[in-house]
Amino acid sequence: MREVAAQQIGPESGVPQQTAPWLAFSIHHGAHVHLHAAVDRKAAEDRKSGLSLAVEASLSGSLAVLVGPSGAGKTSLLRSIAGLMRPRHGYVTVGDKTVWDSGRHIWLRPAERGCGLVMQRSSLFPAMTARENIAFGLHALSREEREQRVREMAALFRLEPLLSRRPSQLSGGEQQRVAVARTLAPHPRVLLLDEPFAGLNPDLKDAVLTDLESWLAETRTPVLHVTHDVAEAWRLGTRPDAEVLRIEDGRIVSQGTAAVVLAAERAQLLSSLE
Amino acid sequence: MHDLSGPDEALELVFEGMDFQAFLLTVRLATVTTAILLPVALLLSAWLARSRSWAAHAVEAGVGLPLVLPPTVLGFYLLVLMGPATAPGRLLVRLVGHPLAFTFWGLVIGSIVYSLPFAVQPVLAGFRGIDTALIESADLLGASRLRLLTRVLLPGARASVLAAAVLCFAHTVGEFGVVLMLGGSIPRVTRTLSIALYDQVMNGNYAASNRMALALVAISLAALLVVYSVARPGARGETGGA
Repeated sequence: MREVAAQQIGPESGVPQQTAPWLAFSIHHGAHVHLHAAVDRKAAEDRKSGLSLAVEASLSGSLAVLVGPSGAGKTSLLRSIAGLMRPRHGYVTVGDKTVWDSGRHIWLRPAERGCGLVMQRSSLFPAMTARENIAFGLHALSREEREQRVREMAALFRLEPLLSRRPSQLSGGEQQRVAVARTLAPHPRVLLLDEPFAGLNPDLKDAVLTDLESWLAETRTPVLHVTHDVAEAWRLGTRPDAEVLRIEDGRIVSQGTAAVVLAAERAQLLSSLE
Repeated sequence: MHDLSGPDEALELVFEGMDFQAFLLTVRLATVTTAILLPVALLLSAWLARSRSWAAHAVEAGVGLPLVLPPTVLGFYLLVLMGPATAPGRLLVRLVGHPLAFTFWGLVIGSIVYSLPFAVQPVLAGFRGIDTALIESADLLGASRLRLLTRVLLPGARASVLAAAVLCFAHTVGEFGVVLMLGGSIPRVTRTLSIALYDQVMNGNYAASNRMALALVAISLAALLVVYSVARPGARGETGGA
């Protein structure tokens, strides 16, 4: 296990040395995507918690699984990367593109960042059908391309019979599959998953994860997957291209393979079975 | 003793003394005001619902001002603003060719200002009630402001928008102080139903006054019936989240 120390991030971030604690988070997914997020959580939206983050970590796989207890800062990190939360200091780069840098007054809107985010609740547009929901982010495409993309997503997530239904006519698992399909349809550069399968029963979760894994294998889109479910983290984290990070109280306290980072939970689970 | 031998005679009795010109002018004024004010309220509310700036707070306070100001105060300032003594008034005269005070369109401007909070506040409440996750999802998927308004906010706040339209219409129908200050009582031009009612009372025509008052009560009651029926729990229209 590698302990990760608090570090100052890039000189362009505009964050003074004495401003601590704060976060520097880096993910290197192969050669084509580099993602670096720095968040002064204390100055961010969640002032009530007073939680701040002070970590830097690097990943080399195409799948990063971020585990940690509630309130550790997992969701804040994802929201900051996606552009839904605007911290006071720091920067975020996606690949070679700086999407936010407080020092250089750069701020790209969420849609300009190329990040797809699936939240815990499906947040489907209730007045639209599943088809319209999936097509919502495809307005830049021609009508034929849009329909083709919807068909592809529907086939991938086995949604063809459900395309004409509204969210209220879908089960929780079906809603979440539509939400994942909607997020993936515009082909995001990075996929951020914020405990999207937390409310699903094990069978449904298994089905959605299988669908998602087949898409990831096809497109090789980098994923940062947040979860507090050890079984889910273990399943995803044991993939050959995956790494697991543990975040506690705003700090990345360990990172590496699932066997290393989740060793304690695994031992606890095994002892409970004896 | 009235002869009620046929339906025509009965109708004549019911509507005896009713100022139909005032009635039609009132309906026209309320329709034009609602048609202009609703799009304004939608755009303004969409901005107010999302902005956290001080400017938004100031504008929201300004929008609510007609709720607490005496209508005559509002009417007085609008009268002054439309007159040739002020720069805006002179600009209006140059644009239109004549002062807008004591004209139908002067009343429309007054009604828009006076009914602004009745159109904005229900829409704003509807927009603020929409699950923020839906708005964030639309942002992430690259929705423009117009697309966000038409595809997410409006479908999510249909009942609130309908309530705003009905309230705006009904409030304009019952307007008195601003109309009196800005338009006086010119038949076919500025004499609305509430002004005509006032004139009838001043002339001692209580039977005609009563019919006009009943007409205003009926319109107001119908408006409230619509508002409460669309706003009741379980009514179709508000769609906060899946």
